[in-house]
Amino acid sequence: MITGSVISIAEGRLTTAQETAESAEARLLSEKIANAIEVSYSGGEGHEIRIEMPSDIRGSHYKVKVNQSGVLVIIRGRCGYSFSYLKSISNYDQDQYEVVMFPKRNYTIRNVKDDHNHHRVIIFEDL
Amino acid sequence: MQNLTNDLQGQLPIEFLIVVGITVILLFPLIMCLMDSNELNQAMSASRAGALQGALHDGLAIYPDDTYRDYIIKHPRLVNPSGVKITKIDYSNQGFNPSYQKTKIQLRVHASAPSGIDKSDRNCLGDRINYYARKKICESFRTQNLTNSVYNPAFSTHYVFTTVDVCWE
Repeated sequence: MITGSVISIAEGRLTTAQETAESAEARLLSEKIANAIEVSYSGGEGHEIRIEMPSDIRGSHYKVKVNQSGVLVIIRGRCGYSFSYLKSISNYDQDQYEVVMFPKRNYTIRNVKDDHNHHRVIIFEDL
Repeated sequence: MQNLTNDLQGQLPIEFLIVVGITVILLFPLIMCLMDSNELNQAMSASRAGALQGALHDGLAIYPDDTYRDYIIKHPRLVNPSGVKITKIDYSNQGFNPSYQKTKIQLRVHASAPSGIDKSDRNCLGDRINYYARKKICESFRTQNLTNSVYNPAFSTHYVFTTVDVCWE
């Protein structure tokens, strides 16, 4: 009886630890990307940072969406958001204003000037 | 005179039988009492693990999709990480509840949060902590099928658990 309850408690704690580790890694990833965008934007024209996306987060598939106000990470139906100061974000062709970043790919975040001489952060996949 | 070396009929002494009988009579209620205590202990441990999980979700600000969409509009502060800590969990025994035919236990979680979070936001954080505390109790005793979608109340074999608003310190 006592062994059963100890196993049940231990099982619960392990699940909590695993979910927490997963959430913490997801949060770290979104903060890392948000920080890279801030650094790239504040670094001036031509400043670029490369980001290597992990293949998974603790064995779970994830997706990252970046728009002008922040970075959203989605993992197993849960979302975490990292705000950043309002700025123009786009893909390499500058025709999309929300960029999706996929696992196991490398991306470059670069500060460029657009046709109106405004600073813009573009995110594109390294080929 | 009877030869003792050939006595194979093995009678137990009456004293031994009396001692065994009294031991059984004493042990039975003791075991029942221990089982009840163990069940409550397990439930409290499960509620603590759950409350901790809720606080960690609050702290890391990783929410289910629908909650995230709600918070981004109504409680944008909660989308940012914050330092939520569980300081204490206590309970009050409210006696036998005839509706559920179980003893009712009311849980109260004490937690701390940064001072910048307003009351409405704290309610949301507290609701999540209570939700995970109840959920873990149900999972620990495998009684998810007996309760509703928000695990309120949570059941164990002999107890029914409810939560009150988190006490913020």
